[in-house]
Amino acid sequence: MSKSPPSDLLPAEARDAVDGLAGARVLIVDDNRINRHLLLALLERGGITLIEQAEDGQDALVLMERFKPDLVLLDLMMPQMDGFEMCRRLRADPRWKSLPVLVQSSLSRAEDRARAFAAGATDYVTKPINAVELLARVGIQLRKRAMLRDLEQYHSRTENELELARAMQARMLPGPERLAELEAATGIAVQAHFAPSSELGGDFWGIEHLPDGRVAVYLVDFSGHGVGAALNTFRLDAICRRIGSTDLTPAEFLETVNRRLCGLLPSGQFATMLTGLIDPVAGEFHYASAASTAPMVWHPGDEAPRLGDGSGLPLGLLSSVTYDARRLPMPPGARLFLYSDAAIEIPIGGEGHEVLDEYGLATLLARRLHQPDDAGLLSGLLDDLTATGPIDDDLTALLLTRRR
Amino acid sequence: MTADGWHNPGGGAIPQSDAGHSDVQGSGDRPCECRIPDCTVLDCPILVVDDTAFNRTLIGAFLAEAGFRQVSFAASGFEALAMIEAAIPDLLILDIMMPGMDGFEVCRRLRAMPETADLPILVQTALSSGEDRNRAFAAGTTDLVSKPLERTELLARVRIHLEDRVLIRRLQTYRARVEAELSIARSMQEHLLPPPAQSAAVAAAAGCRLRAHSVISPNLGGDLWGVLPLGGRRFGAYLLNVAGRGVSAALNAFRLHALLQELGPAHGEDAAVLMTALNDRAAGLLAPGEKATMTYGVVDGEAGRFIHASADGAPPMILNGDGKPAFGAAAGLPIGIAPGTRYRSDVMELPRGSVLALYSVAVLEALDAGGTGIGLGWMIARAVAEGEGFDAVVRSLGSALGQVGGDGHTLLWIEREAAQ
Repeated sequence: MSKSPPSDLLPAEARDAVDGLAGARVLIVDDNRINRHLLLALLERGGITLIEQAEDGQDALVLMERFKPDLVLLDLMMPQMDGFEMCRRLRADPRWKSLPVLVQSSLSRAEDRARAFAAGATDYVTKPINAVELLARVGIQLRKRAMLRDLEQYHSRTENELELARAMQARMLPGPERLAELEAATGIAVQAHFAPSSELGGDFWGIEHLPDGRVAVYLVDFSGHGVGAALNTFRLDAICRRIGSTDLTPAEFLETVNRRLCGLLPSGQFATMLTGLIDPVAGEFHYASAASTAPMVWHPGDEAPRLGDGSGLPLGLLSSVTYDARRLPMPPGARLFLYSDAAIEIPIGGEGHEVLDEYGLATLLARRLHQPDDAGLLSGLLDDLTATGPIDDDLTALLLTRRR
Repeated sequence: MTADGWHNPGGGAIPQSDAGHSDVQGSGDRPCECRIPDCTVLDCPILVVDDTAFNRTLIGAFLAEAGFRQVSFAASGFEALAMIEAAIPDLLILDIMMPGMDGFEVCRRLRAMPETADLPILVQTALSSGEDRNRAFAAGTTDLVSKPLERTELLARVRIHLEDRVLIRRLQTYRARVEAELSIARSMQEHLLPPPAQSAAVAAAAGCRLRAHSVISPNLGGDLWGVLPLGGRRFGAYLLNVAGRGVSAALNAFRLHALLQELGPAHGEDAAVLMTALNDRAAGLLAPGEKATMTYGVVDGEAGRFIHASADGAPPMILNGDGKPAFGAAAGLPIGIAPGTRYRSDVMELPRGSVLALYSVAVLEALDAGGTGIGLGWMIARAVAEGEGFDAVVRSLGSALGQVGGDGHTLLWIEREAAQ
């Protein structure tokens, strides 16, 4: 066996390439003892210390379970199980699907190389081994694997965590059971769509049947999106539940929420909100708006939705703000549509960064006004919106129908 | 809502297709890498650099036949660098022996630029001498394929490099977005805590000196503390910790903070009443299994007392200079377990010159393996005796929790002035 050259004979770049690989585990599979020792010495010179050896594919597959290598250096021609077969078996196992397998073989014909790649090899070097090339390739594969593993760990950890948080946010919204109860008690059917642009969002809505027979509904949209905006929805939920049961007009409710939020929100953050009461006896929707989108109402026989007024200062900016009391007629059979601004800020191209806007949305809605099936109407409208352009913000849409 | 003036370091929003993060599926085409859909890889831009027209045509034909849709060509190293400067491809297939600027030099220049330092470079070469292959790797080559080019091998290499690149980029984009979201959220969580000047002023009005050491995990968490100004040389102080960690714990901490802002001014005078009211409110908001531990107490700088209630919080500790810590005896269920729970107050003496320490369980665990508080008490007693007090304890905390990292913790240090 040839004596290892001193490591300073390696070019500096090759030594850099294997830096930081001390914790990497490499499995050498070769039926020739001398070859194994040569590879072992080479890897050790490259700074890799966790090395195991196997004499053939069968031996190696057994060892895999215990050793869990980060890379396999694989010979092709071996008794018992050859390298091609071993490679195929590794790739058939989900755990080893992406494991780097570096083939080192004296087979140098193009067909052999092609067969090895077809069997799932990641890389291929020809014997006699070129020490610098082998270490360079091992280093490249191992570093890439370490980076991928790091990224994948981050991904799975945060994905789990955000999924938990997403479920918490979903629980905050009225569920199908509560909506069914509401419909049975009041004749008001609610169809809702809630789609944060990432896992969590800054949109939030609620609906409540008041003891006097009226129905309170609100829709909130916090500035920003993602986790930060979601934190704000949780505080607002706590605030709304605290003041929700008291007997306030929509405008007074907004004023109260605004005062509370002013004390809580960091500067630069704010929310838009629409809150309203459906009064079935008067056949009216009383509402107030803090810079919300315009509510839309239509009656049986209408050809287009009637737009309400969404103007008003956003919440959380100025504690002394007052809000106007507004109303829209809402007799039996009427429908009310509430939505976050993502539905009207869809870019529609053109020179000046034009967006769909409220009138564009009303036009899309007009085509479906009297579709009897609520779910079909809403999903059809959402399809229209998606076809209009990219929606890059949290989107909430509520369709309320007075069945009686 | 995306709005002007809203700082969003994460940049644009995430397209719906990426939001689920589960769109990584098998192509079924290649046995060893089934994580990236075929179409994604086929749309990756590839730049082929070769001075021989025949080779460009040949490689182009191989790639086109395999379905790659975005292949461009350069006939020299200079042309390649100019094209890469305009738009960075996902893979470079590079010839070594070229007149003008050879492949070694192209490699070296690309590796010297941060934007292309990680660009996969597949060098195709007729060089069979080991020395030249080493030169190629030394120049920064990712991989070598030998000429004459073999179709299957070339395509296998191209796929491996592109699939890895797409996967890495996808994971990096995900990580950058989530880290940006968490960083905004973390600064919001810091904003929940009282500014040092405010808490110091509230405590000073009761003849006390308050210092706080609070670390919020980069991944967020359920730690929270605050002070309530009360009349008559008194103030309230609370420390709470939502069970669990990360974003979900923070979401509940924000809820409880909003409730405390509401309930504090009305019930802050009486520790047991505030705790009972908070628990009743919280029980309606928290889901089964979600809970928080908390200590709330009123520091009375006139009477020299600390009256507190505890929802399974770490016991408050008072050190009065004789070296033996006194621990609070109030006990109660964690917040959110059972509405209707009645909390009781416990009175502790807070003589002049003594120190009241409120701390999260993480602090207790870090400084006191047994969890009895004796180790922590001893340490704080020694720190007080040596005159360094708070700073010494914070230093010990830093070294104890430094290695663990990640988790948040809080220590409140309230010292009653020695003289009037």
